[in-house]
This record gives sequence, C-alpha cells and structure tokens, in this order.
Amino acid sequence: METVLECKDLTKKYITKTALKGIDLSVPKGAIVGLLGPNGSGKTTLLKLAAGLLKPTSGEILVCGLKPGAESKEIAAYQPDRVYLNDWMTVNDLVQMMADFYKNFNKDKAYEMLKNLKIEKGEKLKSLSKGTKEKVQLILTMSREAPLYMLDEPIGGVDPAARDYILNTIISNYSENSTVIISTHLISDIESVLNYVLFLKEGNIIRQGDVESIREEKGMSIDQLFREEFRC
Amino acid sequence: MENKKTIRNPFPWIGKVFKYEMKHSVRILLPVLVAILAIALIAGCFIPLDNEGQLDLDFSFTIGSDENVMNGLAGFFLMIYWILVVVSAVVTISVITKRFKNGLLGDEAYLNLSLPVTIGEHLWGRICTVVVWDLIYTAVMFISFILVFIKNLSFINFDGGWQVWFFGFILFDMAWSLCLILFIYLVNALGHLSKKHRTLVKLASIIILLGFTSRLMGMINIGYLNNASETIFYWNALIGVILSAIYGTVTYFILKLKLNLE
Repeated sequence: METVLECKDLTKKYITKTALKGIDLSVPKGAIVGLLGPNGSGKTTLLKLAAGLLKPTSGEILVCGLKPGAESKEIAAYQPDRVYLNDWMTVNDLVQMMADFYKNFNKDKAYEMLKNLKIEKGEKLKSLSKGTKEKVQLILTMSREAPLYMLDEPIGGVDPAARDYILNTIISNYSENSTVIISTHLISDIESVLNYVLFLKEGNIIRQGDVESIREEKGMSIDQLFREEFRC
Repeated sequence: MENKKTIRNPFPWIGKVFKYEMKHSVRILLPVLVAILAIALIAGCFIPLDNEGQLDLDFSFTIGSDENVMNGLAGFFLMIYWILVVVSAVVTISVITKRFKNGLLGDEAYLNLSLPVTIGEHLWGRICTVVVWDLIYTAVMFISFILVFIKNLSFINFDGGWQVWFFGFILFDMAWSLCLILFIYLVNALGHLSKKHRTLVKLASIIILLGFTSRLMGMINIGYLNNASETIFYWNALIGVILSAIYGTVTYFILKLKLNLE
C-alpha cells in the first residue's frame, strides 16, 4: 500500500500539555480520509506538523516520503483552521501569488471557482466576509494539483449552505491519484464522502481503517461510532 | 526516509519573497517619499536669494507684516520637510518590522510558512527589501537636498576626496539600518518563544541584547576608530555588518528550530 502520510512514534509536547503521544500511522494514497476526534485531541497539531508549521518533539513524520520542508510544501497542499489572508491584497493578487510560488497551482481552475461563487477578482481581501474568506482559502488550496490535500476544519465555522459548497468542491476537485485529509468533529456532514478514517483521542490514534470495513465490523455508522467512542 | 540531498537554488525563491515584500511596502512608503520630494521642491522655491544671488537662509519674519513673507514660508516648508524626513524613517522601520511580525509570527504566517520557501530564503528576501528601501531612502534624501537648494546649487560643494566619505557614509547607513531592523526581528522572534509573557520577554531581550551590543562595541578599540579619519565610516559599517550577521543568524535558528505557530 502506497502511503502519503506516515508517522513513526510521533510526539509533540507543548509546555503544559502533550498533544501527540508517540503515534504511528499510515495514510493510504487515493482516499478521502477523515481525521476525527473531539476538540483538543491533537488533529490540528498533527496537520501542522505535516505542514511544517510545528516541529516534532520526537519521532518522525513523512509527507509523500519527505520530511516536512520546502520540498514537501511544494507538493502537498495545506489549509489551516483559521483565516490567514492579509488585508492589503486583492483576490487576484493572491491568486497570482499562489501561481508564482506553486508550480502545481492551476490559475484557470481558481478563476473558474471564484466566478462560480461570484467573487470578483479585483475585490480587496479585507472587504470579504469571514465565510467568503474561508471559501477563497479553500479555492486556493483545491486549485493546486497535489497528491495530498490537508484540510483542517474546512467546514467548522461556516453555514450549512457553505458546507455543501465546500464538500462539493472537495469531491469535484479530488482525483483518484490524490488523497484528501479532512480534520473535523462534524462527522455527520462528511461521513458520506469519507472512505478512510483516523480516530484521535487525547493524542493517541485509537482507530484507523477503511470506512466500509469499520461499518461492517461495528454494525453502525461512523457518526454513531464516534459518539460512542467519545461519549463524555 | 531522508530527503534527497539536492542542491536548491535559493535565488528564485528569495526573489519571489522580495517581490511580495516590496509590493506590500511600496503602497505605504512611496507616497511618503514622493511627499518629501514635493515639500523639498516647494521649500526650495520659497527660499529667497539675497542681492548677491546667494540663498538667504534667515527665516525670521514678523507676523502681520508684509516683510520677509517668503523667508517665513520657506522656514515653514523646511520645518515640514524635516518632520516628513523623520516621520518617513519611523514609518519605514515600522512597516518593515510589522510585516515580519505579522507575516512570519502572526496569522499570515499560516500562508507564508506554507509556501515552498525555506526560513533562510524568507529572511534573505526581507533583508534585500531593507537594503533596497535604504538605498531608495538615501537617494531621495540626496535629491531632496538638491531640491531645497535648487535656486543656487553652489551652496552644495564637495571637497576633494568626497567620494571616500560619501561611499563610506552610504555603507555605514546601510549596515546600521539593517542592524536595527534585524535587532527588532530578533526581539520579536525571542518574544514569540513565550506564549503568555511576550511583552515581558521582548523587554528583557532588548535589555540583554543592548547590553551585549554595548559590551561588544566596548571591546573594539574606539581610540583606533577615532584615529581612523576618513575610513571611520567603513570601520563602523563593518561593525554594523558583524552585528547584523549575529542578530540575523540567531533569528534564523529560532525560526528554524523553535517556531511553533499555535
């Protein structure tokens, strides 16, 4: 099985808390993967480590066979759980910037998605609403032709209509050769699109596997299983 | 698995970082520099000439009287000119250092540090921006002096061997401007290491770094530098470059090894 994300005994400690406790995992190529867990389980930390925004305390993480760095960032696409857009650029400036830095960025695809959402190219980023900014970020991420997309809480702070748009964008831009990792705790909204899941609890991977196999084995949906595993 | 050891050409990436840093700063700094030139020209036009055709630099005038109105206006515009010069220097430093703080340590870092650019390339792109703005600023100051004395340029005269002083001063100015910016970068990077007490850590860093810098300066034979005459600017520029290298290297390792965007 070809893997796009691999962790070996990966640990990340903050000053007062251990976010990841020596996890081992392999994410297979060509799947839509749900990185599932309650708040504070380590999902964001794992994706930040993969994106090279954090340094591991110990252990190893490989993204498409590479240690996180400039080379892996050129290949894999990452969207953080927050709005990172500056307030001095226009939408067009930002698209141009992404095209300047990423060889795998498809400008036409980005403009088409922006047009579908009726977002003007000349609009200043500071004039966009938070929801529109999140959509712009998703468009920028999904306009890259990458083998791995890592999306941290892409549906966390948006309304249900926007959630549908985001999920449709992910599905319609996903090719069989690429892998999409979606971190969320809103399982019911995304269960239908997932084919592989990772359950994170208090910094440990407590379950990972194929969605169909887990459903068959447990006789319940992923959403029901999540509620059972993480019952307060 | 280790990353394949291929030699990466950093220059295209430094160029891209530089391009977007300039794009950001030019919006704010260019109008300020244009305003300096405009005010210098206006002040230059108002400075009256005396009977011998020399510039009359006596700016005193009487309120409510028609006498010496031109002298008064020239004095007023020269005052505005000097205020703008000081303000532009403060704005330039503020824009460049704030961009570092927001772009590499704030929310925008999620975009910038996800780009396929190494920490070294991020820093070098910013260093190039500082150097270019410093050269532009120096050129604008030089041109603005000419504009202030435009009615009689004989006021500006260069003694023999001025080139040595001039280039020495340019180097000195560039080295110490860079040193100041890298000092502020380092203070911000050190402050970012602490999650809860950033301001306190920054304050402590300033005190410690200034202590270190003054001690280092004290170790250098000032007596020798004082006797260095026309090469004094070059020696001081060298000290600025050494301090810049120290501040830049420490900032690089903090960002490379200890960066934690939380």
